[in-house]
Amino acid sequence: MSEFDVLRFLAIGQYLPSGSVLHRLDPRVKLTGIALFALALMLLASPTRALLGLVLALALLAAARVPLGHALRGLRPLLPLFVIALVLQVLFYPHREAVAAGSLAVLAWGPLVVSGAGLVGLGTMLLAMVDVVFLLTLLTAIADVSDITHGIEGLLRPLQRLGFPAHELSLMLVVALRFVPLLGQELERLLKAQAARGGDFGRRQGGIVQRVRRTLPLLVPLFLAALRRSEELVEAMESRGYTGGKGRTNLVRLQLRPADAVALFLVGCAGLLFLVVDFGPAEESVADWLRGLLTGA
Amino acid sequence: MKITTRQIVVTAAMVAIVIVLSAPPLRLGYIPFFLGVAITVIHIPVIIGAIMEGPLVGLIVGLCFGLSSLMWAYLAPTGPIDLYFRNPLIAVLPRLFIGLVAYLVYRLARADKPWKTVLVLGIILCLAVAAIVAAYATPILGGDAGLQLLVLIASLVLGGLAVVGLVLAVVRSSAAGAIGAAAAAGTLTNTVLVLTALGLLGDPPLPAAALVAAGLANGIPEIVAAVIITVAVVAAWKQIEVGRKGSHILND
Amino acid sequence: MSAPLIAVRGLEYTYRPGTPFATAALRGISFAVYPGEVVGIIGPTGSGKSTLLQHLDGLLRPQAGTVRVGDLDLADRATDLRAVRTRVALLFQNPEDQLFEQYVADDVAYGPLQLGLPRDEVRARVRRAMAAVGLPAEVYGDRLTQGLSGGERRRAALAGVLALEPQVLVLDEPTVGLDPRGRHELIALLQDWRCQADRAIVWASHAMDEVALLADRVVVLDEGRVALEGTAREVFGRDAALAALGLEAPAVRQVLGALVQAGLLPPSDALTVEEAVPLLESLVGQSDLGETAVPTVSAS
Repeated sequence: MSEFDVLRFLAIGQYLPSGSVLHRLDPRVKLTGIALFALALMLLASPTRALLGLVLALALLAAARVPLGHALRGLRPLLPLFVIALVLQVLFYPHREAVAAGSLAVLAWGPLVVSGAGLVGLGTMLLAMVDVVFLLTLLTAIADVSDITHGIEGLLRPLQRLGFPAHELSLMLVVALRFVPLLGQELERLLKAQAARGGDFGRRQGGIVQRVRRTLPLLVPLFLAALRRSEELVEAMESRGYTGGKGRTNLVRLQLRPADAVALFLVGCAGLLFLVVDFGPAEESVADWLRGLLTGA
Repeated sequence: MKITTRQIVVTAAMVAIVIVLSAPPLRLGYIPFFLGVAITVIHIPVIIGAIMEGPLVGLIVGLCFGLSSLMWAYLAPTGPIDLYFRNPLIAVLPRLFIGLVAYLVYRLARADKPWKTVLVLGIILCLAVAAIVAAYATPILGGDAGLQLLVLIASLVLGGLAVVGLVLAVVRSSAAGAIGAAAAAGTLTNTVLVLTALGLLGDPPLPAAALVAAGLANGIPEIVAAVIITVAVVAAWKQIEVGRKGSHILND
Repeated sequence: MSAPLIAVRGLEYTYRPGTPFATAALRGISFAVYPGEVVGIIGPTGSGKSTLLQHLDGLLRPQAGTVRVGDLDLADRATDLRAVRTRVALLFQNPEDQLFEQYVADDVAYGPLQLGLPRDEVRARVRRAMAAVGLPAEVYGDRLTQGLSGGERRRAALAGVLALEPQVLVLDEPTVGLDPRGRHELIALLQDWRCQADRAIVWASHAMDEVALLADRVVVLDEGRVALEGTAREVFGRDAALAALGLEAPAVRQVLGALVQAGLLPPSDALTVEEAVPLLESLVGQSDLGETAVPTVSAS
């Protein structure tokens, strides 16, 4: 793989236009639904909720016709974190106290104690992370750049009345998203051009001043390119009659449709389910369930 | 407050640079130093945005820097520290101030007759001194050591900042000097506020000694890097001559 | 014929191999660059021109096939790229974007300094290179880089590459974005440069007129393969083949081609304006042209 391929990771989620029901929703509904879901997962994490989240996320991915392989691939960068989190949890969680309080001692090997409570806590956190990544994959799969920016602008517009510069912010977002691939390509070209002149950016040698000066052939032209393009864009916008957001109308007018109402209703139901579901001390329920599986059935 | 087209576009460009520099796998925004420590230059677009287009731009780019930091902590973590950066109060809130401080310092260093600012800073300095005297020499606080310490620290910080501001306002600095001072101040803000946030909100808690050590080991090289790069970029753009006139190679 | 400065044989390269995004850019390219010649590389967008150029100085390594620069084999991982870059220097599109030093002379000096040459030698090279591009060091050396005009900055970037004193200069669309005078000046500079010592130029371009003017040999790429190869005259004489590849012929060829089609001129291999003038003059003399319909050639 070309070591100069800067843009590879910047295409985090691929837009997968499969024409599913989810794709046709109002972008504001897509954004709000997924944002609420992700927030709920991050703030209200518990083992049963994390599991419920997984089920819901997978169901949504299926509804959007996102291939499972694609979704799983999005998890790959998380793997090192899983290992780190495991090690941290094993070392820093108060396992002995948990065992003393009645938790299952999953591992008791000399000084090392790992409690069931600790493992369940770890599992919850990791599962919640997986769910969030799935949601992000879902979002980028059902909404392309223009969708997302229209959605954000639409959501922020009511705030305009309160003096919040919603128009300016969403314009900034659109321009930034446009600049990212441009500047990424510029950076790639700079890497190659300066390397062709003998530039050696990764060299780990010398004091801080030397190392920083070694990056100047990349960073200075990058910033200058960004500033130059900004000037050109400002000139282009103003010569096309852009005078700010007052009184501007959009070509694309967002309108909520019955499908959106249904979607919102389902989001509401899911939310309620989320809040309600939590079968007591989670660890026991999981342990019981496992025990039941192993002994009974 | 009127937001100009240029401000919108420059903000967008700086935000784009933040994203491009922080994106894996290359992560060009990090310069490897020694022992696996890497210093960041991703805060520099924040400083440049603030210097060139004002505090609002600095605020927004700072916000995006924080959000980007938060996002990568979730999506592509590189170490245990990233677990801490999943907290928006640690990743985002401190970064809002980088641009503001950089802008203030730049303006102070460039202003021609900042008498109003000097007056205000002078008053703050006097208040700070008065607060310390009041806390320790009078019975107002009833001898509560904790409160006294708090007042002392707060007054020292405010007073120190006021002194720095006064020095900058009064001393005539070159264009390049102003840029460098702004870059240093912005970087310092980033380091101090993030470490403070880590110390106050880190869970599991991080020992203060480690934070201070990290602050010195990371912070000082980061200030050096920020000054070099920011001055190089802004001086090139505004065609300001920095240092000795003329090329090095022809004049050595 | 003397030994080639660069020899490419069976070169293959695929971007992102093994992933669903894999794109085969080069599928077996072979050609050589000899001392003293200018090789033009043309082809539609996506034909692999840039990829090929990046192999010539070691930015990319062959996945199959060989690229030899003199006696250095670029497929061998152990080859010292620095040695390669003293022989082959690559100038990218819009090279003025790569200037980063405050002062012009310092930017020109960057390449030689990276080669590890002593400062005196670097200074001498900077002076020579800047003189070669028409920006004498005494006048332009201490100027601010960003204070130069676009054309001047491009020439400064070229100087930065010439200061490496390579045997082969590889250029990717060097004239794009320049006004006609800038283009003429640049081409004249390059002509001068290659006439000294046994230097060669490899030039990838969409500007057929320039390639027709300057190139001795032309290699036409199409989808990663060599579709046509030969002297400039040979290749540009194949109007039909070029059209089939979606390439526009040089303006001179288009005009002459239209006249040949109308039966007014016999086919020829004239390439440049100078060569076409006598042919057109011969037409002007005839008084029995009358109302012959001549197909129009659209201005491009």
